[in-house]
Amino acid sequence: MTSLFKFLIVAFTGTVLGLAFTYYMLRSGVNFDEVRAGPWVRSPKTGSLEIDPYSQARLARTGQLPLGSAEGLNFFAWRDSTGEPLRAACTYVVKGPIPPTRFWTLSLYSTNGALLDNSAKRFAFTSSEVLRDAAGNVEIAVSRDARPGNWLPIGDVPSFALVLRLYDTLFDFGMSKVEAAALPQIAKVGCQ
Amino acid sequence: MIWMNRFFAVLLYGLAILFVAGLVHIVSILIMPRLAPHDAFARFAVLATPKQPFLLPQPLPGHEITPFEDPAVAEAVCMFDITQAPFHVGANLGEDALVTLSFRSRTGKVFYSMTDKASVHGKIDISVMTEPQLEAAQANDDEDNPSQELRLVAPQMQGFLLISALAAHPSERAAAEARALSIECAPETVAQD
Repeated sequence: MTSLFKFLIVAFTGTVLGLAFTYYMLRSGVNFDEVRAGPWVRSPKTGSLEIDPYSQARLARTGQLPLGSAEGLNFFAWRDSTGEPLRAACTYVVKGPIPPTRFWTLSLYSTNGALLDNSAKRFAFTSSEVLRDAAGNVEIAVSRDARPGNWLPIGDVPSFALVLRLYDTLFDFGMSKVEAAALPQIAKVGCQ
Repeated sequence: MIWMNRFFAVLLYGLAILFVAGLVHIVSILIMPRLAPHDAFARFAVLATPKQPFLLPQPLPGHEITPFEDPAVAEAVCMFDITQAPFHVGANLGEDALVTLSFRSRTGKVFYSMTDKASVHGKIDISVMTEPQLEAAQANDDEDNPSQELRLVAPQMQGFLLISALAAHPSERAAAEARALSIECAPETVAQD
């Protein structure tokens, strides 16, 4: 009787601990398939058959669909170039080189991937519609209040995420660490 | 000596609990893609129309089907089940507008992806099949006039094709949606023999 009781205690405690650890791993954003370049984070294997079990479990939970590796590359940013979290109370400027690609889009989401309503009804910029300076450089202001030029509005949330997608890119990063200099910076201009 | 026995007993139970916890953790992670009730496949299955692609609603706040949808892209989905017959995808994408395809398994693995640049003069001719179906198709091939179709062996019987057509400007959304829907996808009806 006592040994059965002990066995049940071990089985129960172990199961609870194991499930709690699974829950923690899927919620915490721990990612074993992660390549960083400045503020941008990329998961090179999630769009292929080599996806790791943790990424697959997380995507199954959220329903998120990463780009297939031949479709393009997606870069996520939850932090600015200095490593501070992206806060809606601040104004940021996304500027710098964008790797050669047939098409790119820059879109803004809540931290868990919802689009944010705003008065301008602007949720993303595509490489066709963005305004460029005389030298062809791109500069996009990300802020709550309207800005001249390219303005990506932040909705009514405390913090947000940016996603840069390079469709049909000519730039093959492979598994390499992408140089931060090859991607645009996310510079904080000021906070309210 | 009694405290030593106690110590080893506690250690043994601790290790047993850790062992069970590790096992439960690994199993739950591996089984998640099969059991998750709201994965992308389950969300699309509700909307599915047989034998043709169906358009996902335009990504707008509160109307997204999946998180992190690209608002500049019109997306359509074809669900497939190759238990009975291979699944055929055909398209004629003449113009130079970006369309990407990704073939995904029931549990969310991308097993093939491409853009319209990889098509032959804008033509796409792809069959998704099982290993035995592939062997049957190869046995039926005419040696002098080999089939031009691309044959993919799917890792699972069920899955879906995600079609993404880029709308470079918001005004081009209708055209992008039409382009995504112009792709034909259906189970192969006639076995070629």
